[in-house]
Amino acid sequence: MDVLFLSRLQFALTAAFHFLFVPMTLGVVVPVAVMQTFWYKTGDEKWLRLTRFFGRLFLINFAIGVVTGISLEFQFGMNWARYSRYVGDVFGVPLALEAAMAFFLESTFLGLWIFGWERISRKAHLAAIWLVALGSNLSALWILFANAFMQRPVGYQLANGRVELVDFPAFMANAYGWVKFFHTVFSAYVVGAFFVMGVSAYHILKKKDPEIFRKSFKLASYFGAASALLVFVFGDFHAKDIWFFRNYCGYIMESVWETQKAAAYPLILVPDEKNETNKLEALKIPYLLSVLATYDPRGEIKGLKSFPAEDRPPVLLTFASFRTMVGLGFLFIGLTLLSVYLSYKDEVEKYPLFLKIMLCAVPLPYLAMQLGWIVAEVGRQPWAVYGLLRTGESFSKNLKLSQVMFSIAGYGIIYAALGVTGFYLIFKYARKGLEHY
Amino acid sequence: MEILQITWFVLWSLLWIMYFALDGFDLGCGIVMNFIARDENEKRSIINSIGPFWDGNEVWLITAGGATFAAFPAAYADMFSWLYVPLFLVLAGLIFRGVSFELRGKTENKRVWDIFIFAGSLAPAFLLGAVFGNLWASLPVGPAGYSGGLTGLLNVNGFLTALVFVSFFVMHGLIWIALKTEGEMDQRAYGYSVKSWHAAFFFFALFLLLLPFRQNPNFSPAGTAPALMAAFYALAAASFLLIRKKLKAGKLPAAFGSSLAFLIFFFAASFSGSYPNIIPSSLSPEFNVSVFNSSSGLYTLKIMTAVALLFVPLVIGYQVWVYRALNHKINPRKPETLHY
Repeated sequence: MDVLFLSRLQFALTAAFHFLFVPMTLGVVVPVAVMQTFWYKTGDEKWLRLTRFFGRLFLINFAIGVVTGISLEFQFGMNWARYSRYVGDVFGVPLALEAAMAFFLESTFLGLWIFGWERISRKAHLAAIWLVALGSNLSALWILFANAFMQRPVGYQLANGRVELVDFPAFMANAYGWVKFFHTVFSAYVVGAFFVMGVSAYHILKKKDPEIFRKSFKLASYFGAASALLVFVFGDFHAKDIWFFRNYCGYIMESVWETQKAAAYPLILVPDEKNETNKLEALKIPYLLSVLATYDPRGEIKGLKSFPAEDRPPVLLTFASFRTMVGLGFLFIGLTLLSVYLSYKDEVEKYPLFLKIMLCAVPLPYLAMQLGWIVAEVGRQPWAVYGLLRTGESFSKNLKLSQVMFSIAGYGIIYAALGVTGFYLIFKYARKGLEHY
Repeated sequence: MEILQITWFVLWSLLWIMYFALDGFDLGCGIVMNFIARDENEKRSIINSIGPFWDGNEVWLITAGGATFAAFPAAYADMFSWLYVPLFLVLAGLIFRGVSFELRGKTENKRVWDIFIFAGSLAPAFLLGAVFGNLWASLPVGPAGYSGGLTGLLNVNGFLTALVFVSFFVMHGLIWIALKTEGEMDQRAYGYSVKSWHAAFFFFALFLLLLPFRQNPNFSPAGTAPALMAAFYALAAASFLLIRKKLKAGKLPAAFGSSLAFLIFFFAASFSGSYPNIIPSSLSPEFNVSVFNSSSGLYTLKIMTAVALLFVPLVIGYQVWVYRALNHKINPRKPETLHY
């Protein structure tokens, strides 16, 4: 129990909490904008009611997402002062761009959208929600590129005891960043799609405005299926890119200890970190791991044992998170494709069990997103900036234990209250349905 | 390189100035709401008057923080780690305030949210006043930095500046309410805004009188920055007098405009006075955190300058557009102006 441990715990908890709300924001704003576009184009009141209904749920979520994000910007300086000094020249740029380009856009135009229904033209009002969607997605772009630099530093030089940006085009050309951006954003779209489908399913089951919620269910199913497939495509690129760069995260994600050629893929695997091996490897698919990692069935992949032990992160947590996330990803593809099929045939109401499954499935994409971040962030340990700065050397040296205990207790209480209230209100208004509209 | 560092002192200050001038009235509204409004409709009116704007205004703080990180990473690291508890409390205030605006309308019991709006607006106003009061003067920064915590900020100067901020934002908020609302509460707010001007006058005068006695070993009266400081304080004083004139004449838009100008000049003056330091040391100038010893490299500063020159005018442009698009008045007795 020291400043480092508590600061890590605090950042993990506050980032994870923030990321309970961000994906829903990203993933619901697009369907809401589409719903409003349909209303604008067809004049069909049903789309207006859906827009306002899902819009209200979006707003509850957005508010919590915003405030919990400010804590992260503050925390870099507060708890990770040495990190901030070391990377600020590079890392500060995408953060400043995120604020200047994205936060202003989404916050300003969301204000206009909430209050401008009767005050501005329908066209301008529609443009407003699309600008919010653009702002949110731009925000994801910049923060993910900041994170990408931590994972794979590019475009920099080492000078004056820190990293200094020397090539912004190179910084933006970081393949890790682009793949991560698309993978993460499409995952968030899956969260949003399942949310809209789940809420729609609830009302269809309760026979409350089923003919309207059928429309939102269908829209979300297409959105979700396309997104789930793209998550997989970009996820595959992401993993291959990680293997290609010989970033040991690849070996942790798949718990590979020994360097080997023509590696098989065990469907069942239990790592044994202490003994640097796997306790159990079963249902091995021949050549698959080499194919996944190198496109070549006889490709060679290095094992974790070729990296010094003090440079390795926790294997079990990273590996288990990765496998679970991938499994969930396949589940999402299956469920969304089924949803598309049933929606297309206008037959969702005939399958109440299916609707119940879609309702219960809503939390699963949230879980998958958390697992993905565990893979990325735990998998990068012990590095804060891969290969350059260790987490253990990044925290603020001036802090006293009492200060961090104060803040972590504060966050704990405030976030617990926010989480309970926020989700309670989202549930309450989701259940209410279209009666207010 | 030096030119860019100086440019960034100006741009950095500008972001903070924009934040205080804009979120200033949101914070003021939050502080006075429970005292000015007599019923739920009146409270709703105050909240809805800032409803479309407060989040966009708050982003100026996030941008100021982000810009500090990018342009002066060492200053960012020092400021946020040395002022850990005060800034955590500012953050807590912003969290409480922010969620209260959105979630208040959705529960039966609004009392809790009203308390959060008050506390969540008062805390950032007061604490940022204490923080900047000290940053504009000096802090006991030694080889290991500043370790005085929150109590170390609440010296005479810090405490006074905290009250200065609160009184200025209260006045700013009351003028905004008087401008944006109609009916009984509008009249009440108008009356209080004149009174708040007198309170602000008291604190402004006290602040100016105590300026020469502020612990600021780095300040020398010669040079461009001190000259600018004097000029800006003079312009601030002139704007301040104009506020009262316009209020008395019942010209609310001009009064609010003068209040905006007043805050802009006040903050411009205060930042000019601390140039080139971001965190000046009262112990020794070798421990000053300045734009010259805490900045990013030339390349980053160039990129950040391009970003600022492109986006700051654009953002101001579309924020002004939104203010104008939603310039209707809100009447607590006319529900159609309240809802959306």
